[in-house]
Amino acid sequence: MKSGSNLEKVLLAGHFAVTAELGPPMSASGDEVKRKMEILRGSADAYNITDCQTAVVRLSSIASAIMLVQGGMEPVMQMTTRDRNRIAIQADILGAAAFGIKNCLCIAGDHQKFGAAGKLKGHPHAKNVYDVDSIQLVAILKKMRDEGRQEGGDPIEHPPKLFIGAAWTPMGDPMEFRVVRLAKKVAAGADFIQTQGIYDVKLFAEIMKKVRNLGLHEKTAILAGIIVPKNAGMLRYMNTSVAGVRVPEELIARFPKAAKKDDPPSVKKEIAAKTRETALAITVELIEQCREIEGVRGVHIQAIEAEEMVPEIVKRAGLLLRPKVA
Amino acid sequence: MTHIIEETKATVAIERCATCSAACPVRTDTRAYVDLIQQGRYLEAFEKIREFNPFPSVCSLICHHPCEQECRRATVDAAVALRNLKRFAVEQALEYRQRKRQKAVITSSKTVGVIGAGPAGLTVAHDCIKAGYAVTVYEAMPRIGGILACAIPRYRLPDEVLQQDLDDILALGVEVRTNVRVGKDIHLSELRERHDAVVLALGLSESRTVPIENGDHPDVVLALPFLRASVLGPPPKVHEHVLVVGGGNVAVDCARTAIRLGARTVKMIMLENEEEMPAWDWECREALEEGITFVHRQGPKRLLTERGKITGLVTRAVLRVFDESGRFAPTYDDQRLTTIPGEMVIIAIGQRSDLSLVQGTPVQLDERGPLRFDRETMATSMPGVFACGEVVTGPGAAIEAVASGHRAARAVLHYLQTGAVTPVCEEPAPEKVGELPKDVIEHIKRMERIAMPTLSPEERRRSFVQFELGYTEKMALAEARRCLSCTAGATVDEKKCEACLTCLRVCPFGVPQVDKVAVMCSEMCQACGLCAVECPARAISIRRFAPGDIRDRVTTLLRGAPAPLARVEFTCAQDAETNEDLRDRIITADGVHVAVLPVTCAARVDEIDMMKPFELGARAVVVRRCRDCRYRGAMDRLSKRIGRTREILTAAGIGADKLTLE
Amino acid sequence: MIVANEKPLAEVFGYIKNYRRVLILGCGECVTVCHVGGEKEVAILAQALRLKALNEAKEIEFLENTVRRQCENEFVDPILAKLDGIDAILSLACGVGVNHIADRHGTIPVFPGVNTVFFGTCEEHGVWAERCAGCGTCILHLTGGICPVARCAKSILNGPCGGTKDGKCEISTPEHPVDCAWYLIVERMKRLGTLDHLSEIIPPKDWSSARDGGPRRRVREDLRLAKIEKVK
Repeated sequence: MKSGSNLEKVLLAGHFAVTAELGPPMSASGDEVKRKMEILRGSADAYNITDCQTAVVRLSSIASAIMLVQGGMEPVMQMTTRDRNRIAIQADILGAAAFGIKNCLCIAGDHQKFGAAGKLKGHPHAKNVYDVDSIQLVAILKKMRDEGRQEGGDPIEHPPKLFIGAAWTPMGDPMEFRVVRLAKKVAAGADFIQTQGIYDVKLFAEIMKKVRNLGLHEKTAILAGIIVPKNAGMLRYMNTSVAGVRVPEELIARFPKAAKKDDPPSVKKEIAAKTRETALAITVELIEQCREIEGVRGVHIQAIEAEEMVPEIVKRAGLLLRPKVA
Repeated sequence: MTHIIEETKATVAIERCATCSAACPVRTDTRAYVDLIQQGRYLEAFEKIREFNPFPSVCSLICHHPCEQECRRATVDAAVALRNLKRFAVEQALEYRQRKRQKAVITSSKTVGVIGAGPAGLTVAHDCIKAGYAVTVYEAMPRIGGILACAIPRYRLPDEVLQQDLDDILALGVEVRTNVRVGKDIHLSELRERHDAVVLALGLSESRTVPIENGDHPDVVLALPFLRASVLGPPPKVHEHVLVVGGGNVAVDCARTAIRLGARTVKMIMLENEEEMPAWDWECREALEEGITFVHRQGPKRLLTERGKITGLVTRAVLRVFDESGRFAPTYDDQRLTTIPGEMVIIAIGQRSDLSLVQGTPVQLDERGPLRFDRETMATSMPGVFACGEVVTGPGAAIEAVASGHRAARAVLHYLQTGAVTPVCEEPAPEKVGELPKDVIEHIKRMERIAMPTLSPEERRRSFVQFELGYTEKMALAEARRCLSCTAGATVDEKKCEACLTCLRVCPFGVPQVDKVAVMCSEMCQACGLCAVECPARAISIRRFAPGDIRDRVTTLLRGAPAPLARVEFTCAQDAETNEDLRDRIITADGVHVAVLPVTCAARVDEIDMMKPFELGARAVVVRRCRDCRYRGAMDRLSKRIGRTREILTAAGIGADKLTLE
Repeated sequence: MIVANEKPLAEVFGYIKNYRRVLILGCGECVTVCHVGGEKEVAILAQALRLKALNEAKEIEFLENTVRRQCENEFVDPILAKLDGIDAILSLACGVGVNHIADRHGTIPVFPGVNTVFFGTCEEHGVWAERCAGCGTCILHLTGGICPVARCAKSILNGPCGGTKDGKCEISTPEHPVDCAWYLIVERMKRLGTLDHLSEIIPPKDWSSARDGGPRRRVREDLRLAKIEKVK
């Protein structure tokens, strides 16, 4: 047992793990965090809190994670290397561990140049840090935990016990190198992996074959990323504009046509209901299909600004009533 | 060799010699006068020609143009018509040169005597009097000009044209004594006493003859007396069927003269075959057009007569004209005889000097032939007596006589100043620029050579009217533009060059080679000027253009311009048809003033040229490109440069719409 | 070479508009080669400023000069020794040149005429791109000669991140395309046959030799000259 986190225990016990994402608010009030906590409570084994995603300032991941711990839910803290150097990172790790945070996802973080994918102003003029990259961060956490040493060599009295996570984009360019990079993350010490959103399950299955050939699926727990598709427009956008996301045309075609402006409200209501239903159905199918793939040990569900859909999805996928492992 | 570009007083050193200049016996800066014509500066072109040659009018009509033979444009499409252009410049300057006539200032009490008023002798006279020494020319004939005045047919050299050159020389104050035969009327030693130096420029004034059996007949005439009579009068009688013996230029002159004097058929009978025929190619062509026929590989043997009239000439076959070493040594086959019918025979097989005047003087003759003469010092064996021209060089062209005259004049001037004789060193000729590489030729825009309009062969047979009619201004400008500006291209200031590679990338012809600095290959450069305007270090200048020429012209033109100045127009000079189109000028119409500056090429107009007019009060600037730019990529560079300048004008508060490309 | 961008004319004018005699000083090296600060650009800027000054009814005299290199005393001192009433210098050299003049002459104001941006290469005539970050600890032997510090937007040493799309970086746009440096590195090392080297984790970088460690200096003690009497 490396960290004793719930996620670690669920995985060790052989269950199909579920993690879900909670997006913190642009606000100094913790109420919104607490509200989302209640929506999600019980639907996952651990809850990711994003860290200034798309380089937009939000209530920090570490502070939100503390709120979750204090509220009896297990957080997966996210740490980007964009905003902090290795000194601040290590200090925050010690702080997080002191508050009982046991899972940490190590990522580089979106570049600040296009804040919020152009929708918000963000801070495109900020100086980014990138003192270390995501793989080096995984190694730093491992050294802190397993050797009780800081990156620079100084000792740590009470090592932080963390379950170390990393992200993986199996379908990014150049695709054939992505498995090698996964191997590097595993070699650095990644205990669990959360992937970028999967829609092309067939392609993902082929990639997992290569992963299994390298034995990586046994050294780390791979959780397939599931992004809830709200409508056809969102799928199309992700297919063309989000790196590493491939959406098969059949999925897009399953959604009903969007309502027109001058449709009567009853029609609009009907289309909205059908759309929601399709979204849920597709999400559940994706979860079930990914579960079939050998080496996939869980799913990471992201319902962006739609956390309320998560419990129903988990239920329909037959994954509700998360296991309680001692 | 340095050439002075007068307008800027800049001296530009040229490392390579243009092939046209290298071929010219007097090293005329041909490219320069062609460029001046292209700019509409005809009078300056004339002065440039005259700088090297006191016989511009004569040469513009009769020179055998060795420059054209070496013109590099020939490997592209056809040589530039350099002689025709020279004629155009001369014709433009007729009134001008009369106004410019001025007596030379005599600064020494020493004098020079020249025997022979042909082109060699008159060149010596011209050079010496301009150097401040009084000159007297002694001429046996009643007129000056030598062969030019007495034997060149008028259809090639009208008398009034020859007079233009002669009058200019006389106007300097050269004293001329015609009808004076030295050796008879006055002795050489007397002349030597009278003058501090004497120059023998006797020319080849006598016709050679060849023995023909039964050939003593009044209708068998020699070339020079025949031509003299036709030129000076009275015109000689010519039979219907004339035979000319000989294949050189004088023979052709005789044949074409005979046609004009009324002969129905003229046959030229010569030892040489077609390739060996010594007359110039164009003379042969023109003669054939006029109906003259050539009979090759025949030598005269016997004259046939009947009742006192010539009926024909028996000729023998020629086996070979030149021996193994190339010497003239014809061999015949007397068994193969031909009878050629004819009523008159003109013998034109060569000329020789009349050297009788040297008898009894220290001037010695050579065993082999003419004078004992030192080619380096131009001196004869008599102290203070020099020689030049055909009397010592053998048969040659008019311009070669001029070159020889220049050398003799230099020898004489040195002798007068120092009392000593010295080798006349010509400045060593810089290496000729090499051939145009094939890949450059590919990219040179083809432009057809403007043919000289001529009278039809039928019209030509009828009279001695000048048969070449001359270029119009439009034709001259179009022809002058064909010049490739050899050796007048780009040079790099190595101190400034940063090897940034810009010139290499923009050059339409691949000229620059860049290693530590850019080096311009003069074989390839055509002085388009694109590299100079693009160079970010301003390290390149083009010899053809004075540095900052466009900028200076803008300032000069606008400083005196009336306000308000609506527009400044830079128009490409390539399409100009008159020299009015080529002048910097202000045009006023309906109270609107427009300044026009013709430029070659429009892509040489830079950002500052386009902005400066606004500083000087103009309201708008237009750049007008030509119809079909001959430099690849130049118009793209120009339009992008204008785009950038428009942005600057917006930022400066003037407005992008004030600058346009049309 | 060092690459710089033009500054907007209005901005530059704003620096010097209250001076009477301004020297526009170019540099004969990098800024000449990237067409922003050599003799030609000095002349163009001078003319543009003259027009702007006319437009703003300001009487300013603009003088023009270019030295071989603005970062050397021997080239810059003669200019500074003979300022002849010049009351401001507008330097078109890279920032180094501007600094050098400021260091060499105590009292004359010197303004930057260009925005110095990067060390880069010429991809084609008129296009320059960043290639080196001057980090002081070169690791190009590990990445096939392609620098992840300068050319990866996140300076990742174990890339690529998840943002690569069609070989382009996540910050790439059609107007400003940016190649994914790690995409280039992977492709290159594939061609070199050394792709397996990328399985090794490159540890965190020592940034102390980069600008993060403070302003840098290079000293060759063996080149430092003994003080000798100068020939007059």
